[in-house]
Amino acid sequence: MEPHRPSRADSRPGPGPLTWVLGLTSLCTTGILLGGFVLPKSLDFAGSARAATITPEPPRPPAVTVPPVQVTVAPVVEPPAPEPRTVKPARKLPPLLNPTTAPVLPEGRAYDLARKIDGHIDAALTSEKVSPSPLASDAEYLRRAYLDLTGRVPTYEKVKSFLEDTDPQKRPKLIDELLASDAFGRHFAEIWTDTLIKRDTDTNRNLKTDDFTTWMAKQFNENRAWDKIVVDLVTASGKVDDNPQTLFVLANQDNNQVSPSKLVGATANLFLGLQLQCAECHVHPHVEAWKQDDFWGMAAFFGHTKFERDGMKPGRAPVTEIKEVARTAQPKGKAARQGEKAIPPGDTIAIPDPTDAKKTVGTAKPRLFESTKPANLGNAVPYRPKLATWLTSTDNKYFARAAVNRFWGHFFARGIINPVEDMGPNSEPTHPELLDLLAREFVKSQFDLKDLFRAYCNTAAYNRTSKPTESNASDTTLLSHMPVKVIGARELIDSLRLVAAARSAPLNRTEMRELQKEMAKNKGLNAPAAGLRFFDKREYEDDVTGYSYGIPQLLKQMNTAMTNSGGTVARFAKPGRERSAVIIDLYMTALGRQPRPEELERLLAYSERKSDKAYQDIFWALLNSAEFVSNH
Amino acid sequence: MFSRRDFLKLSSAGVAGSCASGWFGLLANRARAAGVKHKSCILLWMAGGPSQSHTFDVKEHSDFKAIDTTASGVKISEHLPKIAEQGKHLAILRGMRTGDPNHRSARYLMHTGFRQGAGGGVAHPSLGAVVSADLGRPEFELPNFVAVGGTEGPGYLGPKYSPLIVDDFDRGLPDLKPFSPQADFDGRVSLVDELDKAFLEDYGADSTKAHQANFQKALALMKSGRTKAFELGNEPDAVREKYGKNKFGQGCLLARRLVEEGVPFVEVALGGWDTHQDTPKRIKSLSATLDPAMGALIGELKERGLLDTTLVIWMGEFGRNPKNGSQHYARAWTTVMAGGGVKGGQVIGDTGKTGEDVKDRPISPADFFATVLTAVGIDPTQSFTGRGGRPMPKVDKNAKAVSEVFA
Repeated sequence: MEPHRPSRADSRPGPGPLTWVLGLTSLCTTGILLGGFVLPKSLDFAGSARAATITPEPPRPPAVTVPPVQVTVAPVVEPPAPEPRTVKPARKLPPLLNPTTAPVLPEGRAYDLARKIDGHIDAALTSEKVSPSPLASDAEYLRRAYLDLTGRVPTYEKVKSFLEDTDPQKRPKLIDELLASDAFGRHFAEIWTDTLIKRDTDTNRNLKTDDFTTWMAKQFNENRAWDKIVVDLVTASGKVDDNPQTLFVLANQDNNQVSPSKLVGATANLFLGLQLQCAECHVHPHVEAWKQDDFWGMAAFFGHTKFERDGMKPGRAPVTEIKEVARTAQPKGKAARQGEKAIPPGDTIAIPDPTDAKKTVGTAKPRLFESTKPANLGNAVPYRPKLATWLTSTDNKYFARAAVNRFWGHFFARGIINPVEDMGPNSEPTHPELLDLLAREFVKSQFDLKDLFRAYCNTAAYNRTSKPTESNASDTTLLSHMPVKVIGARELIDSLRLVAAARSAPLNRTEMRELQKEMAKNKGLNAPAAGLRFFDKREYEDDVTGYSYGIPQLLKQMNTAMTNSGGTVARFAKPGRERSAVIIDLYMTALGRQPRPEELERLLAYSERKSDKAYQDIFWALLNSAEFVSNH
Repeated sequence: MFSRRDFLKLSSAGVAGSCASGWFGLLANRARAAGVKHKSCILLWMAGGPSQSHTFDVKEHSDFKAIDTTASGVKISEHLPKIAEQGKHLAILRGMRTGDPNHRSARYLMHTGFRQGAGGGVAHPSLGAVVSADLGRPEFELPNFVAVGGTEGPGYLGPKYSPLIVDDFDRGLPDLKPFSPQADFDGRVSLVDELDKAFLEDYGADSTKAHQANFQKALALMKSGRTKAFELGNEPDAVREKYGKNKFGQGCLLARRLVEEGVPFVEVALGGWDTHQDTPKRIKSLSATLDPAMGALIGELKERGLLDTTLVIWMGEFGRNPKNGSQHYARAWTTVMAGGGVKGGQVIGDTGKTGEDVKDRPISPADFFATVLTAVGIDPTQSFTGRGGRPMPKVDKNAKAVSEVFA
């Protein structure tokens, strides 16, 4: 069967004339800002949603200085002169903010890279004759950047100040601000904790992960180089309590002991983007060149890593330490009875019989992947640092590619090669030269993650709206428009908690712990662990654009105290305030944007019928809408 | 070197598949004669890979002894006496040969009948989604696919066929009551409806359609009187005791109640079969949970005249090495079927004295799925229509239903 892939025959990105600057000028004409509105005739949201793009004034010609392109944007526009109406008298609406500020990029390496990325993306769009969607509105961009970089929606205050901000550099500045926030590291650390644990949910369900998440958050927040982080993970040793990075080894165990084969699988998947584990028992089914020896040659580097435990029952007591133990003598006792005696001392590893773990079918000497020579490690443990050095070396053709592709997938919903853990020789990149470029630049930057993310988030592609045009709606791989991602369980609960409590900042760790204690008995959404488990049905769902929330989760979201409590509404619905002002504030809180005029019109009509009770209805509806769970 | 695509083309080109339509026709006629609207299927999913040599393919060297069942010559583990009483209804398939010993991919394989990645990376629907898409009625208020514990998703069939996953059912389905008075709630719902329509029109995302579909299903469920089927408190204590007062036992009871209400597919999971250590002890304890529940389920379905139209399947993602059950093993293992027109009281396939390999009648995953679909009244030679009108086969083209199951 043919896989679904757009034909991309011979598309080669051009030398790069079609860059950010050109893209920008073309965008300026379409979407500078939509400030004031004319009332639509219909009250139905759906029918008139598209009519909302009526622009009351011709957009001001952008003041262009070359280079860089400079666009001045005024976010608030006078309400337009009322049009003659035939259906009903106009309701006087306040001016509504929906600016679209074309970003002006500062100078710098990340921004240069962003322009080069767009060169490749634009070239592919041109060669496939697909035209891109326009720039995302500021509100769309703000919420997207918050969810992608911090795992939460922006606060009401942030939405307000961002929409009012007229700085043409506000988008690049926002990205810098988010990359500098603690929430950034924590979000990516949580993703990596989940990634490690979920590779083997059954075995790993009881592992303690808090310390690892904190450690990993620190690495991301301090912007440690990716190669250094990976070396720490792969070589983690010593007391588990003092070395949180040992979670990587702990999450790859079997029979209560370190599993060299799982560690090879995880290392290859996560850091090389390769499905090497298929060669564990046989020649790789899709890549003939990968033999069982290649797998076990790598496994030999993990062959002497062992758990140490306290207590009498070794299988039950928690692991306290990870050590590398050199085998200098013949195995004795149980080990010998289990067939280990055939293995010579030193760096050799036994290959277990896939049909009976107590038997072996051979031995392997350590050999780096795709190397022709054995590594000859002798008896001098530890072995893992040698593997880590090779793994993260700038000569390793897989390492940088795997990283840039995996993180690309985080922001753009699918990798340039997808799935991101299957980048073997038969995989087909959507943008081959872009992938090469990103890998090269990542090496050149000495594996600077924040700079990479800064580049991704400042591309024209990332700045585009998720609204497809009629001509590009079927495109899922060329980034003519940003994919709509469904937010994950953690993001959903964190965002609900933030929004429903209308807090100005996410809970800090102490508050979170307090809340956990307080809510331990409550099985609702407020109990973080229970809530997360309840919502998290994504164990097997890898596609972030896929919707995997089930009916019970929806029922919980609809009929739980959190989405029905009056706190947020009470904050905004002060006596004497204009109804429209309250509704606008609820929109900014829940959806990170102001309502479109026809939405406001409709909700004002609704609230007139129902008086102040309507606010709670409106807020509830916003929290239970598809838009709330979408990252668009 | 072959590319993966070539490889897939080659592997599916091979021998032209002969199909199981002969058996399908026969069974369909039988069902029609009995005046049955549609069949149902209950999948008892043994997560982790149950050891066949400690359950349904006990060897002389096994840790456990084999006992007689109500079917002559058919023996199973001594720790499954209640299931043994139902032996005359069981077809024990001892020749499973599936070749995938990894939990995650084997779980996919044994839920969908396809290897993960086959078909150019398309996500295949799990059995529950296939059955509910084929047999479920759109106007039915209860979900057509209910899972107690986890399952695999609906794949390309889309969220319409997503399972309702039930984790706690002591008090029926939770969260069915709105916080606000009904009139306000209706207003709220209409607002969500409008918001979602506008959002869909603007962004055109499939996930929005999924959200809308689920939202409507959730509302239908809130309004339905039939959710009483989820309230196990309505069952006499003796019945609840008989199934075992644990999640699996009560899940099996729920499955029986839902099938009575017309739900076409229920999956009930029992985890913990990944017995790398303490294998005999752990399987003995798992058997104490499995035995009363599965025994009571088959017994009650029979008593209530539902067994002929309800296929019960017992299986995991693979078996375990026949020597001691400590390791994953996909070369020769066992699944069990009962009801749904399956001929009971028989063993199909043989793994010999050691159990290391299938000596007689190996069954591939595709053959197994063709058999299951045939039993519930779905023609396995037909295809679904995927995106862009592309035909998506319900089982692999070369699949052949195991005719002995219906003999």
